[in-house]
Formats: sequence, C-alpha cells, structure tokens
Amino acid sequence: MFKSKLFDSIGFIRTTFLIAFFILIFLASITYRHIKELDKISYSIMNTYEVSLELNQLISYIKDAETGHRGYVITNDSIYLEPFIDARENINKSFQSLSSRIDLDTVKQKQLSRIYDLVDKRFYYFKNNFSSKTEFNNDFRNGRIVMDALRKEVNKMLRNENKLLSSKDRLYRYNNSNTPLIIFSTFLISILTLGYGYMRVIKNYKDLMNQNIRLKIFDESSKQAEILGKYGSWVYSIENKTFDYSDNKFRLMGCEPQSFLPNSDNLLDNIHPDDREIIINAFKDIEIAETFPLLRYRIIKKDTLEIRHFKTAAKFFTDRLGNKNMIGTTQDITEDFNKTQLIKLRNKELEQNNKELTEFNHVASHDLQEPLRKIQTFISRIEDKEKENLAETTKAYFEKIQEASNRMRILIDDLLQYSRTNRSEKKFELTDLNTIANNAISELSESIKEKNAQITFKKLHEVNGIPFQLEQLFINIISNSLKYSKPEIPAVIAITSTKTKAYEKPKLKDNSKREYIKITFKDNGLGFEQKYAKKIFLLFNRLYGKNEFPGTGVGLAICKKIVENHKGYIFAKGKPNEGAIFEIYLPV
Amino acid sequence: MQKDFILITLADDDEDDRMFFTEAFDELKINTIVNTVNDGVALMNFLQAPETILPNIIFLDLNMPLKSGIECLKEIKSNTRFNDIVIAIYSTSSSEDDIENTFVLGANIYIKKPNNFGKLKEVLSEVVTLNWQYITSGLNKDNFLLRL
Amino acid sequence: MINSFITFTKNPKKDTVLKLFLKTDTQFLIKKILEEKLDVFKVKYNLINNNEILFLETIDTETYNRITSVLNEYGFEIIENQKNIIVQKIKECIIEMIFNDEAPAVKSSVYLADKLNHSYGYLSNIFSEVTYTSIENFIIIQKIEYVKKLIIHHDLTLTEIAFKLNYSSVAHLSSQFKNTTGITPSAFQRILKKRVQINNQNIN
Repeated sequence: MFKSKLFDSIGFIRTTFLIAFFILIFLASITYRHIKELDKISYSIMNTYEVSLELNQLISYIKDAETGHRGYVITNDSIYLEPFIDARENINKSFQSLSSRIDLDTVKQKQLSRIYDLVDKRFYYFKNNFSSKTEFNNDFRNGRIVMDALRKEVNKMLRNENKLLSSKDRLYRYNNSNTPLIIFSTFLISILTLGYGYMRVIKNYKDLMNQNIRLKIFDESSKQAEILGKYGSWVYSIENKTFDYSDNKFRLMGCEPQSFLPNSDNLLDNIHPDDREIIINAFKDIEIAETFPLLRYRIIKKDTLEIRHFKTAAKFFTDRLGNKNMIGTTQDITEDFNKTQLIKLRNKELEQNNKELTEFNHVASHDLQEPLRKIQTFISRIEDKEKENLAETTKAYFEKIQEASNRMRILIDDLLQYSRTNRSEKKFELTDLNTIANNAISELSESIKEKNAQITFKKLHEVNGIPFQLEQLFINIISNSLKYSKPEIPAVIAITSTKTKAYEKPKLKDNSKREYIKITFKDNGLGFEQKYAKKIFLLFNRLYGKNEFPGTGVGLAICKKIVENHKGYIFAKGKPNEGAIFEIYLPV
Repeated sequence: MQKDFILITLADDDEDDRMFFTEAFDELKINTIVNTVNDGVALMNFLQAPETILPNIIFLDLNMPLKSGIECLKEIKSNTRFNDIVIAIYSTSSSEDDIENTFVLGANIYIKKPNNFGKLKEVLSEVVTLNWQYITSGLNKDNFLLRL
Repeated sequence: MINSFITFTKNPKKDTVLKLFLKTDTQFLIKKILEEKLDVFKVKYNLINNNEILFLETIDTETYNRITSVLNEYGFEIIENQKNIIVQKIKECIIEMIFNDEAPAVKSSVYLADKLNHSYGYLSNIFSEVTYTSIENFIIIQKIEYVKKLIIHHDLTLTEIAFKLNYSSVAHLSSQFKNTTGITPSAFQRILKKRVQINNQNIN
C-alpha cells in the first residue's frame, strides 16, 4: 500500500517541477521580449533626442554665420569671416549626421531637405560685396525672411521630434510599469510551485525515513524470528539464476552469512545426495510452470556435516521491471521430523502390542477350545460306555474332571467372547434399544422364567451403535442381575433411558455440550459395597466365591469393553442387600 | 430305498475328530458310507480323481494344513461337476463372521463341533435327515442353510 | 446315484492298442434311459428323481407289467411298496396344504387323516419309518421352505409372511425359522443377497 502512495507522490513531484520549469521558460521568454522592446524604444528616444540636439546646433551654426557675416559686413574685417566659414562646414556635418539618423523616415527626410534648401537660400544672401545699399537692404531683408522660415521649419521639426519623444516615452513608461508585475507574478507562481514541491518532497522523504526505520525494525525482528524459528528466506531471480539468501539461510546450511554467492550451479552442493533429485525436479521447467511444490529434503551442514531435514515453500512474483522472481522460505524441521518419527514409532509399537495382545487372547482361547472339546467328548464317551463299571471313588473323580472341564469351557467361551468384542468389525448403525432389550430378554427367557423375574422397559431411545454388541451388553447386565438376585423374592429389573448433556454429569469429566443417552438398569438383588463399584468391571474379578455363584468375572468386563467401543461410560452403584444400579452413557 | 446309501466324506486333519465322526455314524442307524481324508489337498485330489464316486455330503474342517476349508469350499463351488454335493462346514470356530462367510461362499450347513459325543450324534443325524428331505422332497438346495 | 468308471480296451489290430478313458454321468444316463423307455408307452409321468417316477394318469395292469419288464431289462427294480405310495401322498397333501393360500381351518393331523382316509397315528408311523423324520417336522421343513421362497422372491416383510402362513406372531415365525435352520430370517436374507452379489461379480 505504502509503496503505491510513494510512487504517486513521486509522480506528483515530477509534474510540480515540470510545471515550474515551464513557467520559468515562459518567464525568461517574456523578459527577453520586454528587454528587446525597451532597447528599441530607448534607441529611438536617443535618436529623437539627438535629432533635436542637432537641429538646435544647426540653428546656432546659422546664427553664428549670421553674426560673423554681419561683423564682416560692418567691419569688413576678415576676422569675422572665420566663424562664417566654419559655420558652413559645421552645418554640412550636422546635415550629414541628421540625414544618417533619419534616413529611414521619408517624412523627416523631406522636412530635412526643405531645411537644407532654406539654409542654402539663407547662405545665398550672405554676400561679401554688395553692389548697393538697396541690394544690401534687400538681401538683409530677404535673409531675415528666409531665416524666419528656417526657424519655423526647424521648430516644426523639433516639435515633431518632441512629440515623438513624448509618445515613445509614454510607451516606454507603460512597458516599464507592466513588465515587473508580470515577471514578479510568474516568478511568484514558480516559487510557490517549487515551494509546494519542496514541501512534498520533504514530507515524502520523512515518510520514507519512517518507513525505512520501520522496515529496519521489521528486518531486524524477522532476522531474529528466522533464527528462533530456524528458517531462512531467499529470493531467486529466474533470469539470472542467482539466489539472494538471508543470513540465517546461510547459518542453517552451516555457512557464514553471505560467505558465498548462491546460484543454480552451487544449489545442490550441500543437499543430501539421495534428495538431490527432489530439488532438480522442483527447479526444472520452473519458468514455464510458475509453480513450486512444497519440498521436504535433507541437507548436510557444511560445518558439522550433520544431516538436517528442510522444508521449503516458494511463490512467484514479477517485479516492476518485469523480472520474474521467486520468493521462498526454507525451514529446518529436523526436530519436528524426529518427534513425528518418534511418535509414529511409538504408535506403531503400541498398535503392534495391542494387536499381539488381542491376537494372543484370541488364539489362546480359540486354540484351547480344541483340546478341551476332545477331553469333553472323551469324557462323554466314557460316561456313555463305562461310567457304570467305575468304582465309586473313580466315579467321583470322574465327576470332578467333568466339572472342571465344564468350568474351563465356560472360561474359554467367555474369554473368546471378550476378545471378539475387540476383534469384530465395528459397524455403527442407528439401533433401537427397545429391539435390543426384546432380543436380550428372549435370549434369556429360560433363566428369567427360572428366577421368576420381571423385566420392564418403556420407550427406550435409539443410539448409534453396533447392534450385536449392544445386545451382548444388555444380556450380560440382565443376566448379572438375575444371577445375583435374592432367592426369596422375584427379581425385578427396570430399564430406563434418558437424554443428557455431558456437562450436566460431572462424573463424565467432560464439560462439552455433547449429548449422551443414559441407560439405567436397576435391580432389587443382592447389591454390593460401593467400594467395589470399579472393581467389578475388571477382567476375572469376582466378589463372590465360585461355589456360591458360578461365573468367570468376564461378563461385566465385556460390558465395559463394549461401552468403551462405543466411546461411552459405564458406572455401577450398589448397596448390599438393596440392589444394584448400572448406568451406561452412550454418545448420541 | 434300502439300497440307497448316503455317501459322506469328511476332511479333517485331526485324527480324534475323524474317529468321533466315523464312530458317531457307526452308531447312528442310517445307511451311510463314510470316508475320511486328512486335509484339503487330499480332499480335492479325491474329488477330482476320475474313479471317485462323488459323495452326497462333504464335511469340511476350516482349519487344515496345506489347503484350508475355505479354499476347498471355493474350489468345490467353482466346479459345476460338484453342484449336487451338499457342503457342511465342521469347525471349532463359533465366530459369526466365519459362519456367515462360509454360507455366503456356498456352504449349506455350519456345524460347530460339539463337545459331547451324544450331541455329535444328534447333530449328524439331523444333518443327514434334513439332507434326505432335500433329496427326496424336491426342496431347493440353494435355500438349504442350516446352522447347528 | 452311483457313478461308474468304465475302461474300454479296443484292439482292432494286433499292433495298435487304443485305450479310451470314459467318464459317465450315471445320473444323466439313468434319466435318459427312463425317458426313452417311458415315452414309448405314451403315458403322462413326472420324473421326481432317478428313484421315483410319478404317473400322472391311471395305468392299467397290462401297461404296468410291460413297463416293469422293460425297466427290469435295464436293471431297474421296481420297489412295490404301499408305504412309499402313502408317504408320497402324505407329502403331496402337506405341500398342497402349505402352498395353498387358503389355509385349512382344521389341524393338519385332522386334515391329513381326513384327506387320506387313514388314522393319523398310522400315517405318522409309516412316514417316520420311510423318511427318517416325523410328519410334524416335515410340515415345519416345508413351511420354512415356503418362507424362504417368499423371502427371496416376493420381497415380503416378515410380518406379512407370518400372517400369510398363519403364524401367531412374527416372533413365533422367527423362532421357528431359527430353530429349524439355526439362523435368523434376516441373516438368511442377507446371506442369499451376498451370494447373488458374488455370482454377479463372477459373471461380470
């Protein structure tokens, strides 16, 4: 953003100075014209002035000649003739200078020639020898008349010149009064323009300085960030095939900052030999494709020869000059990489262990079935064929063997079932708990009849679950209640379900708003001490001796397993001789 | 009808199981001829031999060396010559997945080996009787599924 | 029912020995011979299987004797057994009873005794003796067979099937199906569907 603003103001300054420049040129040309004009005016004024001066001189020369002539005539002393002779010469000179001054003006030329004629006429009357007094008187008189005419003519010309002089003077004055105003105002404008331009330049310069400071701070902080974050940045000029690395990029590679000039030739130098292909492929066809993949590769540090894992991402950009460049960031991800590797390894080990364990459990229980089945089959063969022939003690032993093998059968079956809850396919589907309860009850119909039990449930919810596992769960909990029912009264088991949110039940240790279906099984059986509430779900854990109540301690462990498979919770509450409550929370 | 024997072949690698099986049929009063083979390979060799009279029912153990029961089942089902043979799986496994899988692959009967000789006799008798119904009463063998 | 293996050794010339291995489908052979021989008599019959021939019209004694003698030539022995005939009749009667949508209002025992003009006890004894199973069991087997057909071909729900076959409830039907076959009706349906899928895959 700031970049474009800066460029805008540069344009503005450029136009400002251009305007000022043109104004100054304009100003110079005007001034030149004015001076030129003034020069002309002053020249013509000088001319006029000199013409009038020369005319006056002319008159005075004639007067001199007159005076000299008179003196001669009176005294006949030739000494008076001298000024008269000089006068004639001077008058000629005056005429020469006059005609040279007015040679362009025909009106004046005519006037001047008239004057010249009059002067000539005057001089005609200057005679040294008069034949008569009358002649003299006539001449004198005529000389007087000519002289008057001459005087009149010269005066006329003088007047003309004076008139010209005064008009030129007016023009000169007029011009002189306008010129400074124009010059001053244009100068003022250009000064103002320049001043404004200057202010803008100063302001931009200040902005630039501020930006520069900020950039420096940013640069410094990014340098620190690069060191902390273990990454380096670089710019690649596609045309020149050269790189510009940040200091930290050099450090990451184990080099002194800016210790060499990176380019496409030395790019592969410290890349791990096995990963060079990755870099070569990434830079291949880069001009055309204009894409750069996210790279992961290894390098060998120059100083320590240590192998590090790098990750590089880059983006294309074209600068104002149209050069194609790539700006990229390279990060040392060795620590992350090692950590993920470790986690992966641990996970794998864990998975393997888990798998082995379930496999072991399955194989153990499954393979144990075979020999046991044979033992039992042989027992049944002996029972059918030979039992009557056995001695009493042997018969008793035989029955013990039978019992033990039956118990083993139950144990193995339960174990197998337990392992199956882990192994079987976990296909979740929307399951109606009413159907599940019905199925469980019909499955247990025999023992329900035997215990004279009453099992009630009403409008149970639907849950997302594995149907056959949920059925197993219901069967196991109900049969547990049936098993530990009080012999003297009929067992009553009530199944209810409600919808609840996780945060409403602190024992779930889940503060979210996740919804759960809470299924409650309440019985009126023997119950148990609350301190055993957790123990009863442990595998092979039993609260009663196996002679009091047959069982393996697997049933409720299976329940726990199933509930865990559903990401749910199971709790037990009990009071001796009052009954037990099983609460199951299954996520909706 | 007195001349009719039901031919039965059992493929099981366990000697004791083969013994129980033949003894059970001996004690049952059904006209059967039982022969046994020790593994899947032997079974397939027996079935494919030209001189063999094909059995009516094959009892197949699933877990056998060299060739498993499932492999045998697939091979038998892929050969139209064996179309009329009823396949009974005879296994220790009670895994629902195993059971359904064998049915899907074309087995007609799934027997979990009983742990009591009397029960074994009962089961085998039921199989043969029901099979007899399928032979004599024109029932659709494709629909013959039985789990014991 | 018994396959045989025949080896022909032909020896037309002393120096060339030709040995042909033949394999015969005896079932097919039996069927072919029976059809060929029986077609001559121009009577309507039905080959139930290679052990049983059902004549669809009454046959006079002369024709009967001719048929027996012709079949005897080929090694077929006619088992003249009144019991078999009765059992066959019982079976037909049961099948008719079950596959008829109009279910009889009386108990099957009464229905059979009435229809076949024998006491139920007599029928039951003969049936068990010949078929290794009881009439009741046979009825159940046939009923379940019908249920299977309905499940596969008619897309009926279990409730509809239970109603159609006069079961008191779906639960009763389900439990009888499970007791007879060891699997639930829904599992049966699922397995058959999967089989069809596998067959289609193999064809494609």
